[in-house]
Amino acid sequence: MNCGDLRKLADAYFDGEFADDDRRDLEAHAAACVACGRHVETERRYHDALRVGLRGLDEPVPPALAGRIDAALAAAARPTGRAEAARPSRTRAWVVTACLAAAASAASLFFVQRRDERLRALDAATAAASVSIVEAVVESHRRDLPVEVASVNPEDVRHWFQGKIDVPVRPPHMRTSGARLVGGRVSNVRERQAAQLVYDLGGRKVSVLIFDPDGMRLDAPRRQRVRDHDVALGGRRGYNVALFQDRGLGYAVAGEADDAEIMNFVHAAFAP
Amino acid sequence: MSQKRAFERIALPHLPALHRMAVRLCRNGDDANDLVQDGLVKAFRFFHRFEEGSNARAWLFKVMVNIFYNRYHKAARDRRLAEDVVADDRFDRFVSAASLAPTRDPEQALVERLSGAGLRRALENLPVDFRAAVLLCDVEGLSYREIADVLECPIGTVMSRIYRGRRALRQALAGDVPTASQATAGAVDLDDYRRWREGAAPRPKGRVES
Repeated sequence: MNCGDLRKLADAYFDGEFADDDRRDLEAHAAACVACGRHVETERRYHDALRVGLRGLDEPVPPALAGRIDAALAAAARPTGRAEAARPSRTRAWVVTACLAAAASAASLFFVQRRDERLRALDAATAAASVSIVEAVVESHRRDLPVEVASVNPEDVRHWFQGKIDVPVRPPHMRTSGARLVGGRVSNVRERQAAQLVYDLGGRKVSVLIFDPDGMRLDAPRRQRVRDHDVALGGRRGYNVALFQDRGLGYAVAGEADDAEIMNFVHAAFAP
Repeated sequence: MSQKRAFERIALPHLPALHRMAVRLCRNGDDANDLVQDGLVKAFRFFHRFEEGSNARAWLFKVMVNIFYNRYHKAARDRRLAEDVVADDRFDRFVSAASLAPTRDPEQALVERLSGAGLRRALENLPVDFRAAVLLCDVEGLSYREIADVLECPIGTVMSRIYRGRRALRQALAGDVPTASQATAGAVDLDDYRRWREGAAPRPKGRVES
């Protein structure tokens, strides 16, 4: 081994990749050559310090992640998902019937809920502070991740989510908006578990995130009404978001659409 | 024992390692959580291919890193940026007095910088191929062969990425600007060296990313 070899192979030596004869070669040269001996010592200090420094960059696992993984593994363990989307047609008939009934029920219950007065009471300061929820929703929406259940049938998707996340998921029918259900996946809003329903709206993706809103302020800079409900509207990075509550659940609709398109979607989904 | 429980028994002890690797790869907590989740679900789906007693940690890294590359496709862009920087030696003329200040005891100054926010920033700015190789080696303790398997590249490429990644970190932390001569000096492939020693190949030269 000469000086050039040693300089170029020293990393493998420090990393324990050398066989005995390689190591003997290098150590013999380092013992005989003052410059290389010094180089080995300097490099060893750097390697040791780098290793300690890198291992010291701690990244604690978020508490919610273990729950998400457990739910995702439970979902993968079941013979559902895509297989369920290809359900036999005889089953599909009652599924469609049940689905229509569920949607009708959901729509009627939606309008029974009284206005959430807290949304009206929020002032400009809290609106500014709430940008983070819009940001969090956009963050979950914009990640181009595959759906874990692929189905155009809301009932299939609802069934798939059962037991996987801690809120009931009622995918709305989109009969009048031109939006088509693509599927769903377990997602999150901030660190909170959420069901993400993915729709195709004229070639663009729209997400509906359903989550437990307890302790969250579902607010954004603009407001609009859908029947009896206040819907908060905001936007980040080219995406628009609508936020509202329904029967104790938080809903966020996000997409590359303007306020009018988002509100049309909300109206079609929740107030047809 | 159910398949899920058997998988969890093998995989979940590695969750902290998978998560910290995902955070370093994605540089974003939400993306990292998704990557870990999808990596574990995919590994679970292919659990029947896992050989009991083999290195579960390396296997899980392989599945997750594969998803990362397929999903984000950032490697090519990052690599071009790295080559742009190291190939340009025009900056050699602009070394300021402030940059030279630590040279009174440069090694000690460098070692003192190898922690905290500065190291985190330098690591995040490292091209992803180098970052992954350095982390799998220095943090996760995988062998070169295991890293080659995770990153699906030859061992010589792993050596090159580790070598260049560590030196890029050193340069970033020392406040140095890499020069052309530093850039063209690469690691020697250990197998090439051994073949040369046995008289079966010419003396190896330092290699740059293959």
